Amino acid sequence: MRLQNVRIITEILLLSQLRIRGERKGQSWYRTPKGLMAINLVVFIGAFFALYGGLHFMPEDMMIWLFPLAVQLLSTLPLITLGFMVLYGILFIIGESSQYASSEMVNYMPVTTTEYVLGSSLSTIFMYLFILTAAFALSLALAIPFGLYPVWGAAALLSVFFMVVGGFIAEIIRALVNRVSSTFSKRGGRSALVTRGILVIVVLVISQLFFNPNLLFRALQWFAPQIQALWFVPLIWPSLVVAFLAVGNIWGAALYALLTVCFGLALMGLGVFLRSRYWAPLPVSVKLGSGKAGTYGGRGLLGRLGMSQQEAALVRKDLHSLFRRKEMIRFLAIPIVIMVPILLTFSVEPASAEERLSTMSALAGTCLMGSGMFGLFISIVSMGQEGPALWNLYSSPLAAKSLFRAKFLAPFLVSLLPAFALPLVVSLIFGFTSMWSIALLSSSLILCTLAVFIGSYLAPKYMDLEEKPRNAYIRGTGMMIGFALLAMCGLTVMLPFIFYVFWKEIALSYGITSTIAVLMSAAVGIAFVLLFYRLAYRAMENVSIE
Amino acid sequence: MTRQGFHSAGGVSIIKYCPLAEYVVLMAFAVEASLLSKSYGDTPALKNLSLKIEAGQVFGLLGPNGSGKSTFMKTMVGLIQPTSGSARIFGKDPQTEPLAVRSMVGYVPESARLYEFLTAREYLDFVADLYGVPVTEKGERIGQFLEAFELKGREDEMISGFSQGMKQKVAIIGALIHRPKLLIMDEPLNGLDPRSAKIVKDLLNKLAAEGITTIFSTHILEIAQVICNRVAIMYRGELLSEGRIEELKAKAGLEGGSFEEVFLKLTGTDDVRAVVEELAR
Repeated sequence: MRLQNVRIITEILLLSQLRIRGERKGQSWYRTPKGLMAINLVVFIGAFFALYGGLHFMPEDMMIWLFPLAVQLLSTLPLITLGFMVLYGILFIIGESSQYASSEMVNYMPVTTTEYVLGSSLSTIFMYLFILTAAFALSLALAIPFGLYPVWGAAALLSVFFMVVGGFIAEIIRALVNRVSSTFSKRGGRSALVTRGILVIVVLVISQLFFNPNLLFRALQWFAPQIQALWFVPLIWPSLVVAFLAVGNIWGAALYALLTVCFGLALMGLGVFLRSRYWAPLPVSVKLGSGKAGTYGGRGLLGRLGMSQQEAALVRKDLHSLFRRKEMIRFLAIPIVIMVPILLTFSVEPASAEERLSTMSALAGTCLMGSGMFGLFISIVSMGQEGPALWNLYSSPLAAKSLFRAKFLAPFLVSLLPAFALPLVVSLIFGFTSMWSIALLSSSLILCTLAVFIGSYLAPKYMDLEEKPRNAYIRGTGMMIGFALLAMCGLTVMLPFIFYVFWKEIALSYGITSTIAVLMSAAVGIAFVLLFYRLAYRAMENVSIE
Repeated sequence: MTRQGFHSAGGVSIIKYCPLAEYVVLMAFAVEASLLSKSYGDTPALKNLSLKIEAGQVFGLLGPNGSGKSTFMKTMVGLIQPTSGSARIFGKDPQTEPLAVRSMVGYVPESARLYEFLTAREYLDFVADLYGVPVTEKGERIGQFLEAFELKGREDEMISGFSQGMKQKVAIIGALIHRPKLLIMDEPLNGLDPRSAKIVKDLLNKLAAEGITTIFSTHILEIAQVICNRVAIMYRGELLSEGRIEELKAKAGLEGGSFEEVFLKLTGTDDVRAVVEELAR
């Protein structure tokens, strides 16, 4: 392995990620590795002084309560960093354009797979270094008042190491996804492609569950309440190093530090091996039919739904895009990857009635978040996913109205399933009353519709047609605005219902019964839907290819 | 001498008065560009370009890289809004009546990107639907084109596994599937093997015989010479010369010379030999 090659590859991949994204592409100062470091420095200083300054105003008795929290945070810091890195790594990696996999330098330049994998991991790590700098700053601000300097030092060192390990785990997951993807693609057939999509989502969800610090600790504490009893779990080793240091056990800390390094190196080796093994340099030829004369139906189901020939064709194409492209599957996977760990933390049988009410409310909120996220994610990329093939639409006689209808219907149809299923499943498992179930289901459907309209409004405004080095389909600003709008509108829609649930006496004194609260929520929701319908339509009308 | 213009069903026609012959010729123009300019920031891509292309012709656009050929073609389809000037396709403005224009036009961009997650058949079915080809016709038409372009047997494979030439064939079929009145092709022969290139050339001749107008850009002067009725030479966004190849030779004062010499003289790149010799040292 030539380190010079690793350095060059890291730099090139980092530059390509920095320069190509965002509204103002180019070579601004912040689009350089030095600019990135400056941003990280600002994040570090900002986060540190915000928390450190805040702690100064904290009463003395609260500070005593804060001490165990600080030790716990420091001991879990490496694992939290790892969890974040794996999540970001997964999302970053599966967005990679398969179109350009064959043009990557490793295929035709004197570069080994090991060098490439290392460079690729390091560039991913540098891109997301802000996670580490923020974590360092916050933990340092917590460590200083208690004099936990050596503990912080060890936690910081291990976090850096685990960030690198996270990069390699992401490469391992990437290899597994490639393996699943190419196996099913080679087999061909429509069912194989759907199976591939489902399996890719399963791999991603399991990976995320496995490296989720919250779930990991919950699961492990179920086996052993004391962290020291879990000495055999490699992912706990860095926490043990910090825990031993906190009580002054240098030898214990050194042993587990050594084991941690060995574990990291083993993962690196595995990552490189699997990536080399399942490297897919050329697109696989996938056959989906018999080669006999095709059938060309009439208007079909979409026609009966009122779609024109053009609109139905566009909806069918977008549905194919969503389920056949690996880089699109992530938009189905992200809400699942986020939702499953949250749902798994809820207790099916809460201890008290009060706890039950708060659990049900939190569950309802999570459900609505899921419905909204599905709708938003799929619709917000509806234009950007066209990529450079967008000319097909612009050079055809497709009216803005048809484009709008088709770009709304495809994500809406897909989002309807989770919008129905999530409330129903949650209601059944957690024993919701029928009133709660109906309210949840109707809110879920309204929020899903609203989310799709918000996404359709932002999709043409913030579309990102670039494919290199990874498909984004939507610019970061667009995604952030989408989340903010959805959260704001979602909360406003739910406000009457929240008011009724948590301040029932006051609500009833104003004549707001449960039915009226639900109706008020629905009315606000429909008003938002109508507003974003108009905005989305205008945005589609004003879209331009130049 | 042009006396007057009027709008006819097929577009703008011009009555041309010929004093010697004492007769009136009715000419229909497929494309009319008037003082067309396009700039990207400070960089001009088209400079006051005026051009008329008669219906039923095979019209070649020639010029070195960056001469504005693609920009001109995209402006004709309405993909680019000109900075100034106007364009008409069969009498319709691509900016104000884009749908009417696009219904009449078949367009193949340079290195056309297709939907790679679709099979060739699905892609063509999709394009046919976008152009409103009747369901009863499209299956037969797709089958015929697949056969003609020797893609039969590969139509149910995803386009992602196709070679560049095969993708180009699919893009060309996509442009023809709705029987356009005007075909605009940007470097259509790129990536095609000689046999497929011959198919395209024969097809262009056949389409011209059927009255379909074709505008295509190419770097290959021999092809332009063989299949174009008229050619335009562009350089740095300007129209240097336009006419039949023999007319261009005469204009350049190279009646006995090759078309390549005319091209190099007009585009001011006739000193390439010196460059090549310098590079070869």
